[in-house]
Amino acid sequence: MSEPRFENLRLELRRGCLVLAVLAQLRTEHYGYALRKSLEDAGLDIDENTLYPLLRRLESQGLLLSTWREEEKRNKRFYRLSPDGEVILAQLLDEWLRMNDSIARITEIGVPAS
Amino acid sequence: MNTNMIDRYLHTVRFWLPDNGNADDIIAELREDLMSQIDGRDLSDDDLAALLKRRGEPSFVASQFGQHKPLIAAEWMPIYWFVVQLVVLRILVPVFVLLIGPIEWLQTKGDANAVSFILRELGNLFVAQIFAAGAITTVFALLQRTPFRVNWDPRKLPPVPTRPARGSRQSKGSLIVEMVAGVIGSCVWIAILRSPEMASITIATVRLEIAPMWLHYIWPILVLTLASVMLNWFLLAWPMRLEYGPWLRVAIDAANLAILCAILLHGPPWIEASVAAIENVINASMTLGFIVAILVSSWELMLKIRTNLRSGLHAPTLS
Repeated sequence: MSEPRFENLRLELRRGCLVLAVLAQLRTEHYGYALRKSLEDAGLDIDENTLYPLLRRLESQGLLLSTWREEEKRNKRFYRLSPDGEVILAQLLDEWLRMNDSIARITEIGVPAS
Repeated sequence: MNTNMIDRYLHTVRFWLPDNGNADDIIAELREDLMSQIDGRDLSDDDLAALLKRRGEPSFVASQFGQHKPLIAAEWMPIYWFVVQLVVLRILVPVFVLLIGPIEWLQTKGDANAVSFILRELGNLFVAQIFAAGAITTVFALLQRTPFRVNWDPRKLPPVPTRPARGSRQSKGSLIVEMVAGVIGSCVWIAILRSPEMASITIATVRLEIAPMWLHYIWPILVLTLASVMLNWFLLAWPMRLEYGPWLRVAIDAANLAILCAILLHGPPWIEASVAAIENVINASMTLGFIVAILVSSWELMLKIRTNLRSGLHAPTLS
């Protein structure tokens, strides 16, 4: 009974985090598949149907730059953070740290002093 | 490896992609991702099918790239749904059941088969509901795509309605009975307006018909009857929203009383008969009936006003 509810809330929570993770990971250039693998290695699974539309959206917002280039005899689209993206990433990271700090303080309120 | 299945898969995804000039680019990237996943392995058809199935149904994959604006945005949904329900259920259904249906039935002069008539009217109601829902959806879809936004002000929000006290409320049963009686009465008045000969009757050798003076009173009576039907309908549908419902009832009853007085003052004959003696008896009885009705109505009106005042219902004021 609680599983679908948890799953919905988990997805909601992940949505914003994924943007942050993708932007942070693209401080160095990656193509789609490699980016997905690197996020997976860092413990953040993201499926292709989420990643590629997200990359397109972030690029259309001017936060990413992309270019097609041949690597290992195949054409691949490489993404990296744009100058605007760097600014936004810094702001988002700051926001993330503040939220993290707030959540930590809020949840600590309920913990009895030992 | 046979890449035919990948080609067909990507072709179908391409079909569903929004046509914004990026489709080929997206497909090339998806192809590259699939090839990276396969990574030179020689997959069997089953393995490849499983991989594509995991990837998702083509139209779903394509839909993720679209930035579709919903037809009705979430913030418009409450008012949209309210209007659809209001028009489709609370207006069209009673209008068809209480007004259009009876009028069309009268027009058939009872010649139509009742079952086929009801089925035809239900069909008309259904078509009207679908049309109304479609029209409302179109209007809202267009409205939310314009810069129009409601400039709301907390100071202009409507007051919280106070529920009328128990004494000033009518039971649902009496509201329904009054409403049905009002509809039947209205149909009779409309029928008389359409064909005045319907208002005559011959009993044995005596012919009775309503006097011409009634033609002056039919319209006010009809308007008041329909106003009463509508008021009852609103009181049934939105008992909390019609704050001044009991006072509207008093106003309608007062107007009815005024018409009764006017008819009495107009004087007989109200019914004309081919036999003078019978005409005199009927009109004398009616005079007495009108006097009693006026006395009873006045008393009831007074009681209603007193109940409304005691239950703290202030009369509506113009502002």
